[in-house]
Amino acid sequence: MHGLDLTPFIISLKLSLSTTLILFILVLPLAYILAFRNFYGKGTVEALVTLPMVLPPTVLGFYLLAAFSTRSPVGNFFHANFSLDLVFSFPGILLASCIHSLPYMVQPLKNGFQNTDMPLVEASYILGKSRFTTLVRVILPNMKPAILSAFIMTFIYSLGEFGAILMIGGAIPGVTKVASIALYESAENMDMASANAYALIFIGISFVFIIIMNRISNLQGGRGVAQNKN
Amino acid sequence: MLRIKIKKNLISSRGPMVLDACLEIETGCITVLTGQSGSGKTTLLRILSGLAKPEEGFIASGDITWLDTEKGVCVSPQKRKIGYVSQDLALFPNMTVLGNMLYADPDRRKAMELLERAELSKLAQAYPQNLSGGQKQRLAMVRAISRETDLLLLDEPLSALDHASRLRLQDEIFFIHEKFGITIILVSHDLQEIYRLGKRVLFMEYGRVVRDGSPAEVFINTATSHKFSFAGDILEIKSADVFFIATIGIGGNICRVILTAREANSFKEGDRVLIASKAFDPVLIKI
Repeated sequence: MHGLDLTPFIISLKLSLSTTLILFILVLPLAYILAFRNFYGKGTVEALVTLPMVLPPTVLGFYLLAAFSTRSPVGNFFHANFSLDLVFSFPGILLASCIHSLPYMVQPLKNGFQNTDMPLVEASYILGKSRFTTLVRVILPNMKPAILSAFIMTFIYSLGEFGAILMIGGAIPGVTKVASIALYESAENMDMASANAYALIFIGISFVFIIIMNRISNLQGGRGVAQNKN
Repeated sequence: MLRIKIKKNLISSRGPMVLDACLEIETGCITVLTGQSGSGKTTLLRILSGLAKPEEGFIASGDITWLDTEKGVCVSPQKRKIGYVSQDLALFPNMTVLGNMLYADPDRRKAMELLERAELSKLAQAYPQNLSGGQKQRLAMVRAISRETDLLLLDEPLSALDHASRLRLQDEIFFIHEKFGITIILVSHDLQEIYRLGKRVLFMEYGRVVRDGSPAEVFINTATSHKFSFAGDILEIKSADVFFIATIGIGGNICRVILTAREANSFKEGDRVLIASKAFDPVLIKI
């Protein structure tokens, strides 16, 4: 071990944070629709959204690699319109990470919407508020645990993603070589000290996130109790 | 004038039923909806508020049509200018008392005036979960009227309160009615409340209004000679030498009535009964 290279962790954190934020913005309307609307083909959409959860990451990576190639319509579209090559690039692994982590964002948000106290929503409508105002001022603030859960789950899963990222991005140092791949490479090169250090950092980050999640969820649960005691 | 003619299929505990209402409700009055649970009272309020839609029907408030299924008209709850206090009050737990008021109407001065009136101004920064039952009810009530409303729908808003709080809030409903001239439709099972507040009572059974009139017309059975009558439940029938004693629960009170053996045989514990008496020789004791 010749001084641990922390760049893969920086790339991983950048990837996970970007994935989480992008997915939250894109998935919120989808989760809302899946929770509150019935439409033809809803079951198919739900199955498609959940598919990355059960699919082996390498299978997902294989098809994404084919789709992101400039010879495919998707890859060609990005190349022609944005001069963007998705294969072996950070945008490529970001897109792959978003697709891989999709169910971890959708499910908690959808459950959060489904558990919404409907009388609160109706009260907001009666008070003259639009669906959007009701969503922003009433529904979302009252489903904070679900949002938090979606954030943490998506972040942790995208942080640890390996198979799909490796197939799309390869392991280009400083570009697509994320921490999980760096760990794999270190172990393959018999650099067990570095592999161990990467693994311990992973455990540390995951542990800290679980503690943060539990603390926030306890604080939220406890606020009502503390207030009721007054 | 509020004109209602609706039909909606419902599932009650006794099976399918049709909520079939054809009513005209005078503006500026307090009308009480009463009747057994599951008779369609809450659904009627939800249809009036726009939260539920009937299979067919027509609702108009004055010249404004809220619902006309034939013409495909259905004004959204947001545009009906209605105040609605549901059984669960639906106070926003993520907002303070003042926040709940300002969400309904951003006029801070008006909000504080209403909170003052409801004796909640000192709790303006508290969260709803900190409030007592009565305070929550008062907040729900003033929040409902803080926005300009023509019609206030109250779905058993006082059911969970003790007697004193109930009387206070009944006064509050009266005050709101008098001051703002709002038409109020109140769902209640409490006879005293109905008599105190209601100018007109609509008694519902299985989705239909079966009695319509003043509280006295609806509840006092003038066909018989008795002047007092109370509905109660037989809690116990006990033998006492040559006669029987029935213990009867009436609202929050329990009383005992002597029965002959023949009468005792015709009743059983759990029966719903009417206790009636002549008007002479009553004893009134101030409590």
